[in-house]
Amino acid sequence: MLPLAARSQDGLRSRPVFDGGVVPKDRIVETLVKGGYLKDYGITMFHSVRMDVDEAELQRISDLVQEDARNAVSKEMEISHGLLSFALLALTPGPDGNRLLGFQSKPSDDGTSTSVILVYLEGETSLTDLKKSIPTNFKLSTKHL
Amino acid sequence: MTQDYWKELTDKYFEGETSPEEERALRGFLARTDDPAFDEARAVLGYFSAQRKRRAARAGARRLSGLLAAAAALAIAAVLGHALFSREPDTCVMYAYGEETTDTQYVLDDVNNTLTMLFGDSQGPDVAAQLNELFN
Repeated sequence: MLPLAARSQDGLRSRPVFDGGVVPKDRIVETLVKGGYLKDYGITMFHSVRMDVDEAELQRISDLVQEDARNAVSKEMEISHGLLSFALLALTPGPDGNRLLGFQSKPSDDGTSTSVILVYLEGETSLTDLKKSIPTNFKLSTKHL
Repeated sequence: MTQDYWKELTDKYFEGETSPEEERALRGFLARTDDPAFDEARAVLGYFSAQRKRRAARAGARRLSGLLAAAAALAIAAVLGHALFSREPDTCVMYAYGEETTDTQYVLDDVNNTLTMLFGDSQGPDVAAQLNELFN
């Protein structure tokens, strides 16, 4: 498997999560989309990792995202029992536009693990734009390519 | 050389029988003399001389415009080449537990789901869980 993280993610504290440094890649669902596919959302890059984690892994990811939040231009975060459950961060813009980081964690029904998703976005869009457009926007489809 | 010599040479010129050396010599003479007897020859030779200069200038201009066109073509090719090759190709891929998927619609569905989860109506913490936390 190729390393998919972009150079623009180099400065992120949470980059190891994308690189399999916290949870091994064979336990991750990783999605990378770049270019024209995302133009309807004003995004040029979408990079996500989704995984089920144990308590220690959740703590590590939560800490890394909170470290990124310290340098964020704007942020929305929810912390429960010292652990991050939700975050939307607007990071300092890069040469390719705005850089956004999203995080969500949800405990599994049986309470034995937690499902985590971490997303890095890049493009002209902003957190506000995405919140406005996504609930009503049509879904991305190959028909729009 | 006498005037007769130049008159003879002029006649020879009009008959098209002068050598390049003789023509050059005649042109030099015509440039020096004010004798009206040679006005016609001066006018003709001057005309052809001016034509030659114009042709040379036009050829120079053509060469220059050719060079400029070539340079412009090179510049355009360089810009297009840079635009084509520096642009990152579109990517649409998913690795699920080590298995690669390049089914575009499948990957885009995953993108939609993720964005909707984070930014859509269901975004944010679980309200029920928060209430439970507050009151229990």
